[in-house]
Amino acid sequence: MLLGLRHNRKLFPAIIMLWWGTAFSLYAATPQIIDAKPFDDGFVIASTDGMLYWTDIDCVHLDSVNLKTELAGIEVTDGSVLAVTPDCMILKVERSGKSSRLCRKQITNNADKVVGIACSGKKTFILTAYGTILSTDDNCKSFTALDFNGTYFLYYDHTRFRAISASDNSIFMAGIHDDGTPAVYTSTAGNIWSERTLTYTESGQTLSLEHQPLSMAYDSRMDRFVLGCTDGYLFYLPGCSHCNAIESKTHSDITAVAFNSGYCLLR
Amino acid sequence: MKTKQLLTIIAAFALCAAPAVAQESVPVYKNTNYSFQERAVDLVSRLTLEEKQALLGNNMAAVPRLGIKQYNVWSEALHGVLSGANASVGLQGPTSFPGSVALGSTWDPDLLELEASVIADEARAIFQTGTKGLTFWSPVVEPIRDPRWGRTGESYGEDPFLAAVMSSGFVRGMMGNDPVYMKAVPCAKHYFANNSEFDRHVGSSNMDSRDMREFYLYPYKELIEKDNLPSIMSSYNAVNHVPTSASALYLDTIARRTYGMKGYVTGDCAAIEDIYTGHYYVETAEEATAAGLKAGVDSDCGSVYQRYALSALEKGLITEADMDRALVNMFIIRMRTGEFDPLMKVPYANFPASTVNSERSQAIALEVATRTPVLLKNEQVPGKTNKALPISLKDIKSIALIGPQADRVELGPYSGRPEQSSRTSPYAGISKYIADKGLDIEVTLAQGGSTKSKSNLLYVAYFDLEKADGSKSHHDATKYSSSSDGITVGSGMGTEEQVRSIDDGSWTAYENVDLINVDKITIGANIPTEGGIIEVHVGSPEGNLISTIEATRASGKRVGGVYGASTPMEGKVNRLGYNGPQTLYLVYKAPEDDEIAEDVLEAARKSDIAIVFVGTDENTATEEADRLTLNLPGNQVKLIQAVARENKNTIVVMQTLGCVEVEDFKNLENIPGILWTGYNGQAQGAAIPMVLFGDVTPGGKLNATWYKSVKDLPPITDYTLRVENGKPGRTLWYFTKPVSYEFGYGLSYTTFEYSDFQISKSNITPNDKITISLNVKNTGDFDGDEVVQIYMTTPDSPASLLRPIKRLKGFKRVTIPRGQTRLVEIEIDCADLWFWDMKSDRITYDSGRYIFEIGSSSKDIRGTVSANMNGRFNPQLKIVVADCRVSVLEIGQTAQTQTSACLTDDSFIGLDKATVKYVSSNPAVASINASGLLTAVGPGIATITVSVTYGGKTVSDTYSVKVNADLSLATLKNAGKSLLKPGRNQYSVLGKMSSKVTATAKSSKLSVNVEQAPTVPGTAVVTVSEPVTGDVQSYYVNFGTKGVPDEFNNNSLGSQWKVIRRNDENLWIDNGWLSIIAETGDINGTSDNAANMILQSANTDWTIETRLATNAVPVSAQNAGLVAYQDDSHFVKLVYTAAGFRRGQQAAALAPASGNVQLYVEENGSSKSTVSVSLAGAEIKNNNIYLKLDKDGSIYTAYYSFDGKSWVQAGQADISLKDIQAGVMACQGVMNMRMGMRPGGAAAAAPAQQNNAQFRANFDWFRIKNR
Repeated sequence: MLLGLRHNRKLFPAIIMLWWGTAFSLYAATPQIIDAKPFDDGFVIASTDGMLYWTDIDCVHLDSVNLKTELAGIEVTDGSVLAVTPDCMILKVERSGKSSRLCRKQITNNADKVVGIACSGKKTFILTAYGTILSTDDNCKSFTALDFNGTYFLYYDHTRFRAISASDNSIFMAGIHDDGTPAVYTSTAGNIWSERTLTYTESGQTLSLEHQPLSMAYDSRMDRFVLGCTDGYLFYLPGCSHCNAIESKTHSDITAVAFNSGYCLLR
Repeated sequence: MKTKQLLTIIAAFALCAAPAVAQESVPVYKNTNYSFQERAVDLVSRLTLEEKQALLGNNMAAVPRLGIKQYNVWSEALHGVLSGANASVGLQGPTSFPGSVALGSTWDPDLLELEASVIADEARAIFQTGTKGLTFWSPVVEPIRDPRWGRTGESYGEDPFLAAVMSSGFVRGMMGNDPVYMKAVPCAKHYFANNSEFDRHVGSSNMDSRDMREFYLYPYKELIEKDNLPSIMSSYNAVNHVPTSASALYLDTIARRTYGMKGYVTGDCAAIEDIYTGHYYVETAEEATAAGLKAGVDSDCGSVYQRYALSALEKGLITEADMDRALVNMFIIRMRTGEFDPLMKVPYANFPASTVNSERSQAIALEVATRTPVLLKNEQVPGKTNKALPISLKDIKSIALIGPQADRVELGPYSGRPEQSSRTSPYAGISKYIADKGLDIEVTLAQGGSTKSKSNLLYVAYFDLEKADGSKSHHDATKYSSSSDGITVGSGMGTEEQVRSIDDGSWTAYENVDLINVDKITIGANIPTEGGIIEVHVGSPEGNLISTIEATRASGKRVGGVYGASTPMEGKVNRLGYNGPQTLYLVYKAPEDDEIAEDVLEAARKSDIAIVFVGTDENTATEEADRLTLNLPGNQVKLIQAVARENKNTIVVMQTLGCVEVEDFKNLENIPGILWTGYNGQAQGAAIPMVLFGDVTPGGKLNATWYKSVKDLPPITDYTLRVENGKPGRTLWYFTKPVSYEFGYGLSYTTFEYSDFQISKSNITPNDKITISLNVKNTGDFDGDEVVQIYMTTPDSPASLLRPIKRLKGFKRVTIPRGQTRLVEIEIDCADLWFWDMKSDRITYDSGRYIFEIGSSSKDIRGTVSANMNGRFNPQLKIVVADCRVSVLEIGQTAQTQTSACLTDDSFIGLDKATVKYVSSNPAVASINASGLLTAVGPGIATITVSVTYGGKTVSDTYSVKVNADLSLATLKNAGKSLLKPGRNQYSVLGKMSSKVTATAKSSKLSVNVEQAPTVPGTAVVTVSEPVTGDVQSYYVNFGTKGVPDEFNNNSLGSQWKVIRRNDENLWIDNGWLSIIAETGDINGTSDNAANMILQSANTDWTIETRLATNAVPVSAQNAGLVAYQDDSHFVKLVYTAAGFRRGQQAAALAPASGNVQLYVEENGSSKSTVSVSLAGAEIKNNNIYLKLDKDGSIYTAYYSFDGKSWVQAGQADISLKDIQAGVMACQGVMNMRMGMRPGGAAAAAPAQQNNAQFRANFDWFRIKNR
């Protein structure tokens, strides 16, 4: 008998799907939940109408703040929430309700819109649909801009972006190519980007992800990124680039996904 | 504005990025006159640290500035390029050829070379579409130590000699025979001793150095030394408790310095991660990065290197040279494919997409498939005089094709995925064969039976118990208190710890479980294959049953596959009144087999012949999942037996991943014929009638021992080979029990007679080559193939050494027409007859008789020859490896050459016993003294040749270094005055003095070219270049005159202005305002047609400012404002433009209340960066806005204001411009192709905006203030 071959390896969490519609039915219909992040022992959830909701791990509503502006994404850093609007106003929001504008004005490409915000180490990244990556490491006082599609013209297929997520040492961006195929790019510092292969193995066959990514989260417990996709699929992107996996969670598009201590929140 | 926004745009500022290069020079890495080693070193020298990190994984990032394309190192091509059809680039699904175990059974390396060559042709065709790379992680060269190994089907055979010779055919076929370029890049895996799947990430394969060298490492040694194998994959597992991917001994000392591997080492996917998360060999990701890189793993199929290399560097765990060495190894390989060379130089660059699954490929797939089958049994049909095979179609009227594989095409793992139309099942192939012959034979298909796996029923992670009051308790299933034999715990490629290796009847027990009032149990289980029944018992595995959960594929539960995570599966619990803690047992059972259907039996009964197609599939065993049993999966044995009861002429055709237990049916009288193949590719069904009906005589031989029972084998985790303490030995080398079929076994329709055995020498030394010859006569009635096999025994070796019973040392497959005799000569290199001396850690040769058994299998020995070995062996110098651990040096830096010298007995000598000479190809770049100390002298590339002479033989090795040039200026003067400022590459001089510039570089070996400014205003361009490497840096000295402000109070433009693409209809001055009606066009991107750009020379440093009033808020791409302009492809624009619009909205329909201030930078015709500041919410009176642009060298800082007093910084850009003009412009603008969105979401092909309302820009003044 062989025992304990992988003792002490990271424990797989008990995935608990917390359906927003049932656990928090007040906001189930409208407006749309567009992002969620782990926050302390629970989650913070953003909706398009500017509402932020703090919940516990079971998704029980604890606090909320109305920012009164459309939101594109949120990130949690240093115990606060950074919220970004589609036209790139960045707000710092405390759970107490106190909020302040870090960047008072829009910082975005003409005709473009922000799709997400993510923090990696000391850097904050804001991603637009057309591929402008704004980064700041001085509390939004100054930004560096990288035109992804311009920089990688003829090197990566042109991509429209939909989500960004980050860990301490990785940044992932997800979107779709012009032909609708999903695309994910990864970087460590935001300057050099590699395209991630989105194949996975099922029943001995190597298949390619066909569902379009809509949202993305970093699952720190598993040290992996997870795409929330159309048709209710989660697509797991672990450190091993050969080891992607897909899982069907629901039949609805997953527009927000977050992980905390093994709990998974989907919308 | 209360809050300042500082938007810093960093335009690319890099070597070679300057727009003007006076002297064209090809960088070394693109120069085909240099060696690949030199070019790779040069390329790596140009990379930034962040780029280096991004290139250390299998997903190698694109680096556009150096022309490096993205590249995925990972591709597979074990028996066809692992890929599907891709109609968008005109590709069919690649051809699926017979797989490794089938190929190993051909004993024909030339045939395998042909197959691999065609695979490489298809790989090239796919590569040319840009959808795949050329580095393939194939073949698997690990010998089959244990048939339970889940990847048995991927190996060529049990004896390492067979595995090595067959692998060699694959490697040669993939690489091609061009002396410069490789057609495709094979990679031998998994280095090494990685053949138990369930624990491959965490297990340690423990063995002594003899088994290691003689068995496990032998194929690698052969491939590296004889075929220049360009890559190996370090495995997940440890060997003797050291992860192979962290072992400098295994990778550097043995693979590189002993065997001489030149190429790249990739870690298996997540192998670097396993170093710290699986083996706990080190604690952190940085330490794992260091362990892998320093051991010699060049590329991480994972993300550890790409995430942690720089932090490992910062912590001093690695050096930049460690990263460089890995990248040089990788880029040499990429360059050897021709990726960086002109296509016309690369002989393999012209395979069209139609190469893939072409008629030629299909024909070769069929040809190979006819040569893999092994005839295991061929006896008389009961009651008849003829043998069962080949089937004489003229004597029969009906055939029943029975079994789960009768109408399936099982391709096996890591296969090409051809279209269904290219896959032929046995039923389809036989039906077509009979139809093509015009025969009146009834073919009945009665599939019956199943291949449902009874191994690895489930992976179980947890169970939750729920009481009537809703309270729950969670239990980790892997923390069982006891279990049945064989149960393991692991997570495989995933991250979830699970109970694994669950067989029919397995159980796990959990003590002290509170069952009081428990109503429901939820078990987190994954179904890797078919699933099973989970029974929940109390007290013992046979105790009270309180719940049953059907966790099967058939029940509709989710099948996660071997990589999958658990899914909750619920069951109702029957309360049995327990009032205290109990021991709960999860008992796992395989689903009951289906009965053999009556229609199947009826088909067998009524047909002249029943052919039963049985086998394994990818659920039987695969990567991550070993077999727990060697039985044919499902109810196939029952099916065979049942059919045989109904039909006396039952033929069994097996297609399996390797050995299966056959004792239950192989001797049945009613089964006179048994044929076996490994996974036989897309043409398996077309090949089988050719064999069954006698067009082809089967000539394959088993590539492995077929054991009678799995019970005869030691535990799969036991990697030792020799008989010890009652433990049976392994493989034909040491296994002594009776077997079903021995290694090398295989019958034929014909018979062969062996005679005239000869050996060319009766006394041999390790330095000899001998030829063993014999005559083989085809004495039967069919043309046929015979595989003549030669096994070596050493009866005079001391018994205490436990030498193998026999080892394969030569073979040849020959085709002999009936009645003919063929002289067969097999050459044996006596150096290959070695053993490993564990005491002295080197190769040795036993003295005495070496008997060479010549036979048709490892037991069917037809004759012997022998020779006496003189064991005194004088090893010669074999491999010299030299490097200085640094690839890139700065001038003045030194590095010590490190050299190893290995002998043909695989031992090392001290260099004090040899003569060592060091020669630099370019002492002006790198000198080297007699002690091997290298000194970087000047910029360029140098290759050091290290020659070691020992015992009269000289062997050399080379390494290359790049010495970086310092391209900074030593002096830069104008009119005798120094302009030089550290770190600056753009200078401005105001005034009409002499514009002559002089400059010198820091090194006299650098070329300095000064292109003087023709006039003032004008720009002098100083270019410093290193003539050998092509490294270039340019400096601009801009000469200008004082700018002339204009308040536009006159009725016409002042003489300082020049108007580009003037159109007076839309340009006028009135009442102190310069007005421009925006016309279609812009200067952004490819649109170089903006009209009425009002410009004056501004070729110094300055601040320019304007007050802008527009008739309306700009919409769409309309824009107006200030510009600093070199030409239409190089400029900085600060403009008032439209705010963004949303997806799905028509741009023209938008009516934003405010616009944006945008700073747009273009260089070489491409947007370098764009930053916009929204003015939403701002109080803009009458659309008045003030814009200001400040230039200081190459830094442009943008501001805007609403009152001309309070300025807000909008952004900053860094770009070198020359011959600069500054002024104002207004235009309708152009929708960027990437910006434009149709309502449907597709990118719009967006020409200039046609239907916008008039947009008029009024400029109150243009003020310029020179510094």
